Amino acid sequence: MELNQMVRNEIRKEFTDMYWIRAEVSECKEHYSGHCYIELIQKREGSDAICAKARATIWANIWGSMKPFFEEQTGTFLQAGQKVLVEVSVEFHELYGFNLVIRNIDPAYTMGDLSLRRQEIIRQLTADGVIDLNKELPWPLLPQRLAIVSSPTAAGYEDFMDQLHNNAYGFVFYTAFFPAIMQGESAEISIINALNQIVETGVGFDLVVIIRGGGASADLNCFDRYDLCYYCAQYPLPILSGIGHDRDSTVLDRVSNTSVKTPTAAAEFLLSSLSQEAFRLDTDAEKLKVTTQKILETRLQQLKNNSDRLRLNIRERIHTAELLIERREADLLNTSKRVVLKKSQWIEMQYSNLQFRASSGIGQLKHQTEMMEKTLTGFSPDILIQRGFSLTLHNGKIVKSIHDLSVGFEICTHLRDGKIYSTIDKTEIKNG
Amino acid sequence: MAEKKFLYNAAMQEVEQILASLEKNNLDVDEMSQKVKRAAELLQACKQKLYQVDTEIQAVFENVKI
Repeated sequence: MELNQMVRNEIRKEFTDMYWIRAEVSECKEHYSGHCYIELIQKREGSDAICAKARATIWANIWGSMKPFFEEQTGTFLQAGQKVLVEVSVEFHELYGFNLVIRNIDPAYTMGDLSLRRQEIIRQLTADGVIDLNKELPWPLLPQRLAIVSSPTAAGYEDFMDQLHNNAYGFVFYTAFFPAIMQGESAEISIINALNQIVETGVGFDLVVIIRGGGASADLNCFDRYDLCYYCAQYPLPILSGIGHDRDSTVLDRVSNTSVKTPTAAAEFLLSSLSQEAFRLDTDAEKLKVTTQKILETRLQQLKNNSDRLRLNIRERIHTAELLIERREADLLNTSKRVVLKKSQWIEMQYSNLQFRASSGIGQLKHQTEMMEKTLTGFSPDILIQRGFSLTLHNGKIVKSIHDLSVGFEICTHLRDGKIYSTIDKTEIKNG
Repeated sequence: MAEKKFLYNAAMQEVEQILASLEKNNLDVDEMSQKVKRAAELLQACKQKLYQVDTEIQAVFENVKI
């Protein structure tokens, strides 16, 4: 006791300052009294061998504000395995011994360490060739059948469901819930189990949504675990993560197909995915309608043109045929007229021939008659008188025979230029 | 003679034949009027056929009014 008091006094005298030290947390227990008891260790560089170890305490008055600050900044709890930069004072208690009292903590150091660890895991996953596998899965056209991995008590889950099912578009979602522990040590196994169950159901889900509600103070460390991320990266369905945090990114965010910050954002993302598709469908439908209408109109116009052409063509052909018939009719009429005319001309010719022959016969006869007439004319008394012959009449009658006359008859002799009245003295009868 | 199916082309051909023999003037006069009558009848029939076809086509177009 005295010795311990001496040590205590000595330490108090010697270690009056505060010291910033780097250490790894190997144990962290929160006492119901509000104090936080920690075990800090230091490992030998490049190995797991512990080369220093110290108990540390964060009194409740400090822990009360340090805890939310740390969790908000780092996105994780203070827990075993974490590297911390803490400001401590050295104390020694007669009963409890050596103890470091933590006054302050620099979350940036822990964050840097976590970030390094995340990068290490990402590097490993890249080396394994799985880092982008889930990202490379095609985003479903209509993500409507959703398997949801979340904690049933999480407020984020309810927000998500509410937003999804009461959407303004009226889109329908089929959701199946696969409960899992979403924080702490057992989260990794629990989430993997939930994901396994999804596959085992055999239901053709479009994608898996991993959401986690709650404030920024919760622990996101579990989403940086190699096994979980290795599993998720190779998961056969696209993963949409919305695990609710403000800090940069978890490894799960890196490997999941799509990552958004919060469950609400996840619901919004799904809705916008559907509404985009709906819009595209509407646009395509309109395009289809317009195009079809245009094609129909064109075809109709073509049909109409063809029909018109056909009609015109037929009209022309009928007209040509009509003309041909008319011409044939005219030909028939003309030709038969001509033939009849020819025939009648021939007949006329025959007739006139006949007439000619007849009349020329008659002419000859006439001529003959005339000749005969002429000949006859030579015999007329006047002509004879002219030529010197004379005509003797008795009582107005031509005396043709001597027998008609007797002596003493008075006779009248007609000459060319006068008459001689004489009385017959003598008659003489011609012999013979 | 049995009612034969009227064939426009055949009819027109026959008309042309009759016209040709009329022009060559190798027709008997007794035969002539008969032939001319026949040709005129054929032409009339052709015309009728043509009108009939026209009407039918019009009807077809009426039915498929575009």
